[in-house]
Amino acid sequence: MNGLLNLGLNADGLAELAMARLVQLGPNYFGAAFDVMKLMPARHIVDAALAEGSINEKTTVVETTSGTFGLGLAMVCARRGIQLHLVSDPAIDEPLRDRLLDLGCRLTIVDQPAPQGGYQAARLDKLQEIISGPGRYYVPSQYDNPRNPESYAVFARQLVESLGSISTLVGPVGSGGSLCGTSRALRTLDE
Amino acid sequence: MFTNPVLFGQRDGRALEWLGEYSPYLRIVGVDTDAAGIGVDTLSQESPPYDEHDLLTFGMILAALRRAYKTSDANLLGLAATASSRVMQRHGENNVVAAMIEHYRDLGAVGVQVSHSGTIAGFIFDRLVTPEERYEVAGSYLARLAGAPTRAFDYGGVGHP
Repeated sequence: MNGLLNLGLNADGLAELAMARLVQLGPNYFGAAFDVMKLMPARHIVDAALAEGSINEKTTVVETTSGTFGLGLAMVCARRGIQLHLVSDPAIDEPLRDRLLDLGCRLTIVDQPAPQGGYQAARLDKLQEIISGPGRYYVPSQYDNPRNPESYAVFARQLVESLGSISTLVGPVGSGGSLCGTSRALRTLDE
Repeated sequence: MFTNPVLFGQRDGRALEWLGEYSPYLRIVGVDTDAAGIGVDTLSQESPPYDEHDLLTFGMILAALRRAYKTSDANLLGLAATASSRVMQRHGENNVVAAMIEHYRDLGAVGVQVSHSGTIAGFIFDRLVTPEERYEVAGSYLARLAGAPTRAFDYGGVGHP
């Protein structure tokens, strides 16, 4: 393998894009702005699956999402040359849908909510239907995948390296991955 | 040897990273935690079976060290050293170090340092803000705890790694 190829997965421009911009909001108070909030876990999950062989050139990554995790996956999969099939519902906004399609991902929109569990259940049913078919699939499962919080160790290191010790972390909780992963890593310095 | 602090791979015997030029000004009050110690042959020891939590901690320690040596931050360097001491404790409890970690803040220290493959440990003080009498109190405590004489030395200071 020559030197250029050895640059491998890291020299793809995604690593820098996944990092947060740190903005000072007060004397000892900083905000972190992510250009694509879920790019960090999407990249970590896909690259780890590639490294362990759960994804190869014949694999289609399948995930149910109507938000930024889908965009993160679409960016990573486009860069890695991996097929991506996302299952969403009518709540997906048009600009995001267009970006996903521009990135080459296949998008299935469920049009009817399930009798029980609404659109979320309908999306999960559709995902099951897809992966039950012929072919090779990988489902990142962002809500259950420990690599989601694990990926935020990179962000925690960025915080400490840029700002020093952090006494309080404030953040929103969706999957819980960002806040749990960041706080778990920060706490290793003061357990 | 090196004129600036480096991340040193002791088993390979080489510097892995230059950490920065602004060492905090510290005083270390240390002791040999093995009173009858005859030293340790590092290379004859197996590397501990570090788990994912240890590796996560090492990454954070390195981030903290980079920041501490860039900004001369004694407190952050103390946190990094103490986190490293805790990793060591997970792979072989040393009663003296356990007590040091429990009480270092009460004594006015910023952290606890240990040599991972040896038996030397010490309290780390911020030399710029710590009253002189604190060093004596810590030294007496440590001598009683370890049953061995203590040693104190200064380290770092901006422009004086």
